[in-house]
Amino acid sequence: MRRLFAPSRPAPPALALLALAALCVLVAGFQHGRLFHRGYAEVEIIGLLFFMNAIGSTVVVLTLIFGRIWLFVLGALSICVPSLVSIAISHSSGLFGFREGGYDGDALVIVVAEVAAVLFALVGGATAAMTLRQRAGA
Amino acid sequence: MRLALAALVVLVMAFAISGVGMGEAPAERQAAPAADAVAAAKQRIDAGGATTARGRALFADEGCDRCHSIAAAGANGRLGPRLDTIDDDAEDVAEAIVEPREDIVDGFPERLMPDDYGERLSDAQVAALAVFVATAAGSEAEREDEDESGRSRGRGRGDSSGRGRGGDEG
Repeated sequence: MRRLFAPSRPAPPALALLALAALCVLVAGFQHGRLFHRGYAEVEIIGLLFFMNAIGSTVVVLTLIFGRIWLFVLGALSICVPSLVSIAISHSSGLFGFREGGYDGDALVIVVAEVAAVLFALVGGATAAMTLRQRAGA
Repeated sequence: MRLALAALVVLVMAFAISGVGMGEAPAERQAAPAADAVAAAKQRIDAGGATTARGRALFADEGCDRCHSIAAAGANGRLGPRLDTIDDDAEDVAEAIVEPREDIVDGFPERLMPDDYGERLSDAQVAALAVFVATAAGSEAEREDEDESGRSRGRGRGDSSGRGRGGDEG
């Protein structure tokens, strides 16, 4: 638990991957915030989730900027995975009574950014774990 | 360096979170009906028959109110076009429910509305939804009835039937 909040200095390749993940989290969060003000605010529960996604994404990216890489990886996955699942459900059976018919440009940007964020965060986190373990062993 | 980057992130996201410079929902470009038109629509809905009542229930149950606005029914959705200012009759509304991508109102997302209502709902349910929307909008027979009653109440008075709404098609 302490490790989650402790600052880490991973190797440059790991940091680059995590920075890409952060950029993707930021893009998806920005889109959620923008869409909140473009009509989703009135959609019960979903609107609030969009708003929370934008705020949460900002906080998560800040954790990486201040060196808490494990908190960032956990936060990025905690935001992007449920968001992707929610998008999939809202396009099929519906989520909280809200259904969408297809993926327009805005939805596609979010899906691509969040899938990329998950991949970069996982690979970046794994790379960071390996390099930090090697450093500790040396 | 870190503080500058953090400040930049916060600044960029502040725009999205506050909505500054993010534009407006397409539905906000459509004028809301006047108060007297809303009152008239409420009367039409209340006076409507079982089909209208069933359509109103379906409108909420199927989540139409999440995206569409009908002031008289308390629906405030802004993702799709307003439905209380349309000029379509029930038949046109039914077609739009079943084939929502045939006629997209300018500025609205093309693929947002599910296009499976024709399969998920029975013909009777689609018809009930369409009658409710047309009744709320005051199209066809209802509007003619209002005209008739308005004329009988006395010529020369202001029109309170909500005509001249001039909204986009849904």
